[in-house]
Amino acid sequence: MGWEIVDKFLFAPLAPILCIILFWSIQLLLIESMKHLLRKIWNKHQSLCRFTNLVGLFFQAFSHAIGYTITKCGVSHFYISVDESKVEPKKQARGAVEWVTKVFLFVGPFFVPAFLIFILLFLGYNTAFKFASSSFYHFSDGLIIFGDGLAYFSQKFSELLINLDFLNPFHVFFLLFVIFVGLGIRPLYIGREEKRKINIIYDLQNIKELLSEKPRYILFLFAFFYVFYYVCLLFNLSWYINLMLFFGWLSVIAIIAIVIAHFVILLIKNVDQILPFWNLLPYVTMVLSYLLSRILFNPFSFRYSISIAIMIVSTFIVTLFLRRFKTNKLKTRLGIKKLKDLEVEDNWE
Amino acid sequence: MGVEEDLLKDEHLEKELKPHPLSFFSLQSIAIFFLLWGIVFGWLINFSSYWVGFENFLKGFFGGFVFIPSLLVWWAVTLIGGIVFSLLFIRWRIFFLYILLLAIGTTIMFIGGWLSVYHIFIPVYSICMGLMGIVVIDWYRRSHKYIVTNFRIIFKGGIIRKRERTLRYDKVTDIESSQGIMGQIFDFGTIIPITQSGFGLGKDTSFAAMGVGGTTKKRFGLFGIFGGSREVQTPRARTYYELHGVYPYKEVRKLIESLVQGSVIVPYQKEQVEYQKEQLDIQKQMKALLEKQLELKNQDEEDS
Repeated sequence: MGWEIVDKFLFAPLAPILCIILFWSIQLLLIESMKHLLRKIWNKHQSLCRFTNLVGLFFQAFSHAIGYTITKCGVSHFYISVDESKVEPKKQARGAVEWVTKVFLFVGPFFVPAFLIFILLFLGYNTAFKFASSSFYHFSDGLIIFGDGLAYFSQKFSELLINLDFLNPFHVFFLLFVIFVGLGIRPLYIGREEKRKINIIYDLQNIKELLSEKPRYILFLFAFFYVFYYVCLLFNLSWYINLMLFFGWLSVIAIIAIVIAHFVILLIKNVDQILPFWNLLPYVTMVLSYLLSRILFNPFSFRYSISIAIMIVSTFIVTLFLRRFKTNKLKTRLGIKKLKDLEVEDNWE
Repeated sequence: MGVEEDLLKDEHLEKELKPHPLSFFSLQSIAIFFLLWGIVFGWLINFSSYWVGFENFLKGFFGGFVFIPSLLVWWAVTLIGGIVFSLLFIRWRIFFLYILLLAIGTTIMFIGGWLSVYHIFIPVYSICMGLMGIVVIDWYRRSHKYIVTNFRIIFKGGIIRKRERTLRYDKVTDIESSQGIMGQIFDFGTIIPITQSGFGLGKDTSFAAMGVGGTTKKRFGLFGIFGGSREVQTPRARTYYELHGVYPYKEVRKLIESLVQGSVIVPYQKEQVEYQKEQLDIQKQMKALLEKQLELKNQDEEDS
């Protein structure tokens, strides 16, 4: 009985919070991976990289401005370019207000872009969202309800994506918007010379400073969550878990958007290694395979998903094939690293 | 015709430039809108399920004229786009251009007997006109040529009416440069050299007006307009009189700045004075050496 009370009042509210932290960490890792990929295509695709910088910086500046507006500091200066963004308040924030604006600055860029997709989904595809109907009493219940909500949403969102009709202009715009958001989910500064060290360590340091600078605000935040949970528990309301689910949905949206953006960058990176003229073939394959599949499978209900699957597979095969046979003739069959390893082994012998 | 034919004696070419393909994006967007709307409209009336209900609703008003709802939507959305573009660019000719395109399309449809296939004709016409617009704008872009030499900048432009401007660096008083978002992404920008005579400057005008109609009992009626206007001078020139959308922006700007700086008379004079000082010092040293030599010679003669 004693353990149950501890679980109910102390650990249960933590379950969804821990899940959100987990998803957010996955998001951070994926962002770092995308940054690594973007850096590899910088030389050939400076414009694309500058564009991703701009999108990222825009979301950062936007989040910052929202922070200042909500805290009633006002925005006196708003500047954005491909290299930097700057938002200045009308009056300097102090204490808790300053802390809240910092939260918006550091955490906002991770959630604001995903929130834009969330609005679109909510308006056009609200069956993807399954809200919890009542509160929960145990840590494990919290995990199950939260996980169930997210799994349902992930499944529905994936279903939507694989059933997109690329002959429908609105669906094409939606996909482009998802890619656009995926590229700029947070400031990814890629440049010839990195002016600011923005990476996972930088983010974590910022968060650490945010936590250690004003620990009592963190306590207030946790206290707020606990009080909110207790109120929901008392009246058997599902508001607490639904609020957490909302943040979970944002994280899932962000992760899926980043994964799609990964595929786009990977395609560009691989196509770059193919000889000129031949490098157009993967893109031509992509369009033609989709159109042909749509014509071929038009009478069937699964025409959208099968067409997308065929498009992805055929583009993948053609790209791999061209990378193997229509690439730089001077390239060695084995990678440089493997060749070096072989040389080392020979020397040992 | 090669660039060499334009060059004077001792003049050499520093750079030959053309506007970046995306530097006329504001103009291209007018054509792109027409093209995209053609695609969306084609999808809407041929494949979309949303259209059926809407069309049936409108058919109730127009009876047997089945093409009228489609035509109305095509006209309405295009004209709304025209109004938006006209307000954004402060050029009402865009709105009238759209009206002209719509009128031509509608006339061809009626006269050419395309009414029965209006659902194919309208999208195809819009897409073709949009593509044609993009091509014409690109011709216009390609007609621009900027020749930067060590003496001057030669600006050339125009598809039918050819325009040319020559600007010597010593006439340039100021350089204005700007880079939009597209320019920042694709590394191009516009550089406007402003001359002593004010070439390269334009005016931004705003006007406020108010009219009051009718008369009062006291016959103190105000029937007219109160107006006010403000003018601000701002760097602006026709695209063929400025270095419009040149690539790579930073490199070109640096080159122009250095060429203008090299032609400014004050630093040149300073340089001359420094040379003269150096020469004077050398002459003084030589004089001292000669005097010493003469002194030594006299001493030798006295000794002998």
